[in-house]
Amino acid sequence: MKVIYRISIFLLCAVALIAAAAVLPFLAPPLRGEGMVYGVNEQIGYDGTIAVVVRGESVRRPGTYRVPYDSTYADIFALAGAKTMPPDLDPDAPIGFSDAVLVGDIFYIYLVL
Amino acid sequence: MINFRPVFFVSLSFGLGIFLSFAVGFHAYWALLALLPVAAAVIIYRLKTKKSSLGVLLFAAVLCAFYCVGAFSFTVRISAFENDPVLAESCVFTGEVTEIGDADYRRILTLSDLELVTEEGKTLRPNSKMTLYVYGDSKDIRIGSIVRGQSEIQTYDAIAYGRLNTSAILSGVRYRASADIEDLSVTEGHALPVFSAVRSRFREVLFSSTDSGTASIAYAMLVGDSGYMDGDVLQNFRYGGIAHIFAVSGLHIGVIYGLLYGLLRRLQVKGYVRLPVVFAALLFYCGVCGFSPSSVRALVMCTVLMIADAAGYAYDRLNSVSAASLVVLAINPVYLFSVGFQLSVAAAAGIIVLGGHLGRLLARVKFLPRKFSSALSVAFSAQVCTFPILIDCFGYVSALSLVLNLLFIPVISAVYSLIFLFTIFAAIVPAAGTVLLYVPCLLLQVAVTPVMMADFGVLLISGFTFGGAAVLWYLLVFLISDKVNLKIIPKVTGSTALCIALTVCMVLQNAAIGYSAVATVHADYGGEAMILRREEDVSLVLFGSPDPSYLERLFLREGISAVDALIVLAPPREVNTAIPVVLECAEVGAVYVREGTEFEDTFQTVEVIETDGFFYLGATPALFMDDAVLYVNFLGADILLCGEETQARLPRCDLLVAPSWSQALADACSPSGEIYFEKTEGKLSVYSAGDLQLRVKNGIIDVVAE
Repeated sequence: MKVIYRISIFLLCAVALIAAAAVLPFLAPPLRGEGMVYGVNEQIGYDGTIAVVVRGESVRRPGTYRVPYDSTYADIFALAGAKTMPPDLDPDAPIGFSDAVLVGDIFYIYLVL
Repeated sequence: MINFRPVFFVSLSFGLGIFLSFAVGFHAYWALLALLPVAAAVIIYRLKTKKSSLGVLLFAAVLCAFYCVGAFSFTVRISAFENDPVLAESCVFTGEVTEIGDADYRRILTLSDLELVTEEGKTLRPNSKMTLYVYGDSKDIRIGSIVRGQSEIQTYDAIAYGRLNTSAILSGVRYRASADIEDLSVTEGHALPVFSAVRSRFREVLFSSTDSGTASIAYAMLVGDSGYMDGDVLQNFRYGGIAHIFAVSGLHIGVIYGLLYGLLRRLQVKGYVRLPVVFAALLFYCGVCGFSPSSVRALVMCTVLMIADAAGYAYDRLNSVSAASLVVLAINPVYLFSVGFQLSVAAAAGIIVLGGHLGRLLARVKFLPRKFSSALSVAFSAQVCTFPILIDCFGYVSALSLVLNLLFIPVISAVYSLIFLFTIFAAIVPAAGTVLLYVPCLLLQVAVTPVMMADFGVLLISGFTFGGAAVLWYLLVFLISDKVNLKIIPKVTGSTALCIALTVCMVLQNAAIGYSAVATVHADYGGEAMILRREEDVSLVLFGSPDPSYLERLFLREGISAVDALIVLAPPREVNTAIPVVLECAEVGAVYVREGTEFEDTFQTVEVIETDGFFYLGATPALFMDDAVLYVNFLGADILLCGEETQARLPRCDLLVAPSWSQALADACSPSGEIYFEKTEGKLSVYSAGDLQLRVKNGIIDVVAE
């Protein structure tokens, strides 16, 4: 028990010395109160759709469609009522952006059959 | 369960106070309230067992006091650093050179006793120092010179890129600027301070006695300054996990202590004279080494050993390393966040906590020589405890490190003692320097030649981080050591539980589970980048030309050895500079540039594709809106990456990533979310938050800190 008392008194003196060494030279500046860890947990919502314009003589319902990003040519042609599928397009392939045009501030993918 | 080690707990409390003050500011003091129920439980238990609780409570009060002082001292230090004003303008500066460093094509001066005159004519005399990057032949500038000039002054913040700017705070450098030597006026100043004079003397005798390569290695080993070493050589030492020989620490202090103590004992110098003489010599040596945290830590441990030996007390190594840590943190609490301090303490603590236990286990293996078992246990335990810090700070750990440390360190310790002794003799008698240093430098050349010839960059463990899971790692190490006295079943159960928890945390930390595509945004003083990963494709978008060492660290941390597509959003000249930097670090499938840009394709080793219209980064459609503006449709999210201002018509986007905010850019693309690289008030920036991870799925982009 005496050992603990002696150690505690010694350590309290050490605390006082450390406090003096740490604090005294720097009493002037205003102290920063807030923590320095910047937590990040943001969520940004997005539409996830693409605008596809389908035109052509063999299209029963021509117009502009908003479809999910990973929609295929088969999906869009089914929506637009295309009577025939162009031979150079894979119906199961995702709709490509090679025919995309910026109109206003939105990209439209033009498919003319 | 754990032996009572008062200094260990005191040091832990002090460090915890510093850490929580960093994390939550003044709220750290509320954590003490959590101790009240614990104190009440202790009192009740001690009353029931009819034991006095006064001693326990008194010690708890001491721990709380150290906790509070730690927290407060950290706050005071940061506030003192930030007290000097923020400057971002051209100023006339005058300062005295206190440090000189060399980097590629420039010299790095540290100026103190600063006087700054702003554009408005206001004169400032900040307490802080300034880093001045000087281009041109600046050999006439020495330590103590007075330098005057005018340049754009920038300010270091206490927090930058999501991390505490420890090197700036510890060195007291608040400002930075760059200038050509022709634009500076240099005059001779005061005489060198004694420590700088000794360092200069060592440098002069070494560089005049042997070739610059050997001299730079010897100088780095002697004073811990590797600034004169070839960058590639130093990096190879780092890849081999043996660069710690250039941080003056236990190895160096131990050798000098051994030499001095042995010499004074042989001369039959009395103990009460021997102790202060050895201490004074070691303290002077630490001053020559700039009082680095590793040297101070080793000095304190050595002093505790000497005092314990002289006073007849039992020497407890864990209390000793705790006392050393406490002294360093009391000198400056920001050292807690310094990689050098963390590695130094982790290695020493690892050897103490795990080394002895492992050594005794290995000693039972009959065919292993005892000295080898001891060396293996020391090297392995240091490796185990520095592993998380090395991975998180540098992005890699050498797979050869253990073997190299076992083979190389004993040899280099012997060579160091010769280098140390004969450099001192040569410094006293410079005319005999070449003769005196011939053999030690020859031995040093022989010792380091295998290291310099091999390429250790090929066997690196990288590609993941520990983050908060490092705490579990250290708890596991502590539990399996002999410092925790538990029976075998609780120990095994606890260890197993910690292993499972560690595995789960590491998987959650490093794997974006449930996301098939992830983008990460990175920045530091050396560069700004975005990495798009979708399935197996890796695309790299750079915003400007990066610093080679920054890019190398980034690739190691992210586990990237090949890039399928590279895009540099910068003026054509910077694109030309950036491509070789990337090729140095990773294989590149193709570089994409906008058709019609003034870019000269002189690259033979990589395909450069000029695009007009949409192209694909793997499965991700992309389009150049301008030379340095890229639109990307990332799983349905419209992302715009703007390297510079543009007049081009831009699409509306879900996320805008740009170096800095501008009203024109925000109006042009109406982003739902914004991420900037530079500090931006009220907006998410990599400068404030650190590297970011974007997880894209089902209509939500989750932005989290990496």
